[in-house]
Amino acid sequence: MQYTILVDFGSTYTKLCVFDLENGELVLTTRHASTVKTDAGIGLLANLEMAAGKIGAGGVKNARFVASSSAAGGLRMVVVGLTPKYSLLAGTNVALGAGARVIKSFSFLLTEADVREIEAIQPEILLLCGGVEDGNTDWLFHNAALLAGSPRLQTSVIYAGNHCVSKEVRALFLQNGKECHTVENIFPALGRLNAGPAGEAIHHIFMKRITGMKGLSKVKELVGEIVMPTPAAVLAGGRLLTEGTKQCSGLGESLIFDVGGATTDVYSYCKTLESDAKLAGAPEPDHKRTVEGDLGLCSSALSLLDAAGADKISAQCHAPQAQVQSQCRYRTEHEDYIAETEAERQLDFALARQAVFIGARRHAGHITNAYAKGARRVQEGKDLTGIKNLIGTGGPIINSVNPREVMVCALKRRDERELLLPEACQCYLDRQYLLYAVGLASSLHPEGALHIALNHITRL
Amino acid sequence: MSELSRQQLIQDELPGLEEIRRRADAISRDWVIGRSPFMDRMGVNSEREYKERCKQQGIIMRHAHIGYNSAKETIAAIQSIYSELEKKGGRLDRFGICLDCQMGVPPELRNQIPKGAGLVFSSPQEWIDVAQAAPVMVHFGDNMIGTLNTLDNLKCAFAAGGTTIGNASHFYTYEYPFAYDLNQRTIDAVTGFSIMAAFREKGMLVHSNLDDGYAAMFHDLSVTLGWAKLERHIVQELIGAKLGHCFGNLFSNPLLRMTFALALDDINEGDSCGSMVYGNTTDFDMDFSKNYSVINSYLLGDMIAQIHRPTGHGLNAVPVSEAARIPSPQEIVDAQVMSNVLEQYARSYEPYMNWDKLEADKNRLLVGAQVFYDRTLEGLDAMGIDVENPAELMLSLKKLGPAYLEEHFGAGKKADAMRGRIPVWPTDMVKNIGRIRERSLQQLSPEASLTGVKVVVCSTDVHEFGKEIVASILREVGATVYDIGTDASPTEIAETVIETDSRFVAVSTYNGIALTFGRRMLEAFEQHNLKVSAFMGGLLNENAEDGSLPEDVTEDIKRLGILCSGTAENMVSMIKEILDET
Repeated sequence: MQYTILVDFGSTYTKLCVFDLENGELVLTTRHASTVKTDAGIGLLANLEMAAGKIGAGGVKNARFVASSSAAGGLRMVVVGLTPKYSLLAGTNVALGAGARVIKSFSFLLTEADVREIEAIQPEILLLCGGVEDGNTDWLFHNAALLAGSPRLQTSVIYAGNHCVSKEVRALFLQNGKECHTVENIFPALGRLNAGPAGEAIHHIFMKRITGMKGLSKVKELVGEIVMPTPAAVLAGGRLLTEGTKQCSGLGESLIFDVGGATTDVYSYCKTLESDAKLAGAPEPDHKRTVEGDLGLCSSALSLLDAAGADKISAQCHAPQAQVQSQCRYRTEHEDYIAETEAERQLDFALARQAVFIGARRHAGHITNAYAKGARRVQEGKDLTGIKNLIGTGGPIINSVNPREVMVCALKRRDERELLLPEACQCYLDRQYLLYAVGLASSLHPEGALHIALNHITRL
Repeated sequence: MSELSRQQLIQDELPGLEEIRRRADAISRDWVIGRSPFMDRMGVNSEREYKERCKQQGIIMRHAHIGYNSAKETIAAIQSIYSELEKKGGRLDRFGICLDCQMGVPPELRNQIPKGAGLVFSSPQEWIDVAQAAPVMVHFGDNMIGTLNTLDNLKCAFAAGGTTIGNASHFYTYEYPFAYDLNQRTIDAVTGFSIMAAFREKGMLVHSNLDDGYAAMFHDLSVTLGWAKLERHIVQELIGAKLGHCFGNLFSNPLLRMTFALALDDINEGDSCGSMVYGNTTDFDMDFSKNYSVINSYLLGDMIAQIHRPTGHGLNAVPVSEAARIPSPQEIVDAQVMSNVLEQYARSYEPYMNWDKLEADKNRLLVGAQVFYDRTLEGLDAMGIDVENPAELMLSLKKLGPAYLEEHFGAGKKADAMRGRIPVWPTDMVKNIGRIRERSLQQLSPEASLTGVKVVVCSTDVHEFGKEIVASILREVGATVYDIGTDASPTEIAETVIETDSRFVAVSTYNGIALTFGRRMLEAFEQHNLKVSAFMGGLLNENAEDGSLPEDVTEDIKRLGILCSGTAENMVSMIKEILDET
């Protein structure tokens, strides 16, 4: 029998799962404090030792390995589109779905100040898109020329805009000494989203150029290529769990919350429904991810406090505002912070609830009531009213005093009529951090991976 | 994953009919129907009782609409019209009171809605004062049941002695510029209809103006009729209130109006008690002299249908000035006098009509209507909707919308056509598209070619007709058309121009916001320095500041620099000229 070992190199932990995919069984999960800043191999070897204790050294040696990584804050991207409602929305959704962290996005004609800002960000990948097929070229050239001409910008560019000028755009970047990959148009026509080619290009660059960890060559010797960013693995895992396979049904339409120290990732799996409302803008993907860089319980605790309101958090955890403020500041200065006292756990609970509450509302679309006789309602963003399940993962939810209470903060409240969120759902918890592993295994043996997910991601 | 299911349409459990009936009984326990001077004069207890008498005696009821925005002005007009008609020996049975859209929301929310052209009552007493103004029955049709102020308005109408109360259509189409509780709105609407059901034996009649609801948004007239049957199923068969339909602006052909009236009566199994038949104002022109022929044409047909098969509908002689302004009392009187005289001619025509032909047409409509009705209820049942629960049914239908209903449940054969079906009986609008398209194509010069020219096409509201004509002609001459559909916003248009690099935009508008929309669209272009030639067409009107009636704003729009070509073929020529000049 060959085991499958799934490894994730995170900023906090290096995690490992051993699956027996042929029999659909979870053999082992382990984790070790992350060593990506010194030598990623140390954390990996520590995990492999634990695995060998269970499946033997031979089992480890003969295993097939698949790995993901979110080291160094994940894959940092900038997206440049032509308009917010169309190409920028399409590009951002594709970048996030590919597992990236979109640091900032830009639309319309770029200015010199915009380029200076992008230079300061120094993204690992810049996605340039815009223009339907045979559509705009002038604005694309303007944006491409400004970016290509920047002496300080060193990034891999993916061009996924109007295909009519892809050669010329690529030449512009190459002539200025910048790497540029061209793929099919991400938004080829009104009402169409072509996410595949740009997503694959992002993964390819990620695999070839990942620099977020030290000791990468040793890691590669042991586990091969890092095939995708962790969020992409979680997205794939959630997709399998939600949709199932030909032989076995999944859970159905779901919303996943992965709350962490730095970010809150929200994943949704549901189709756009026909309704009386008009859909405005680029089509929403059926499998969508958003990442909220200001909503985390550790390094982003202060920005989460700002977004939620210190008064609200203070009231929820029955602590004075000043105390809440100082505790959040302390968290931002101590990346390895772990709540220990009851009061600290209550603050964790309040912050996690707000991370889910705000993350869900940023992820969901909304309806605008057009005020005019004979006008329909207009829908912007994704309709999540058909979601049946809420799935929680990430330390702040898994270790919460009440994970269910955290997750149900996503549900629509009675006074939020315009929001397209569900009003009632079943709650599930990924206590063992399996979703990334299920995603990594989903292309190897979907039946086995699904079986493991259904058995171990438990209903609350 | 599943297709449309109950969970996507009904998020909160809605109460069943029995629970809502108990609520209705508790709310209306001490309600009484006021006594109006009309009841005393005619010796009846309700308008419905009078309608039944008219049906038996072959009397045609007469209706006039009153659209003033204060109770004082309305009362004065009612009294003036009544006394003038008395002097001239004319008869008028009922007045339709146009309540303003502000009346559709509770008083505390009215500041969130711009004041429209209609009447806003400032106290319950004003409802009574208007109803007592003259011995003419008062009909409260607009912004009543189905709005956000259903129960308060209904109570006031009862106290005033109004016994025909709307509106079964408004729930589906009237919207408000703020988030509100749709479930509560639904429950209140069903409660309102349940109160009307509890008072059915006392003569209460629910009015539904098909022109105001989904019925006017379908492309197939048989679907419109099927929708009327669905409304009847909900209001009359399930809830138990008596329902009377109104129509008038859906089509202009007088023979088709007669056919539709017959078909509606069949849907009511010969037991119709119609509220009114509205005038055909869509054919009105700004040249009032032409409008006399329009009134005579439709009114003659409506009268002949009433003589042949009485249904209790009040017939509305619309004053010739209505398209341009709120008619004066004298103009209302003139129209009513004309209507009184016309009736004697109608009676002489009735025996010579080809009723077999009209019956055959009616049967065609009825077959399509039945198919739509059955498919809709079966389709909703398959989604898991409780089709015996009026609240679930109404909420589901509202959420699905007219386009979905017609595409999925329509009777026409499936084809590559608008809404995916060939209509059993195309509405006038659909017919007009074909006609106008053919005419435009004939008038295009042979060298008219816009090959390679990009045009963004859209409409500002739910209407697709104007947009479809323009898009079709532009494609015919080789242009690349980017159709962003209905309900477009200025931002959406500007962003589409950017993505597609279009130089031309064609906007169709029918919802009375032409000038404001034009201004905002140009602002959006200006913001991004877009060099775009914009065309606007359709019904270019809007309320003037402090005005109470939409006015033609074509010249104001032209002054903004927007082009108004009038026809699609002119637009082609104008685009050519612009291209030649640059």
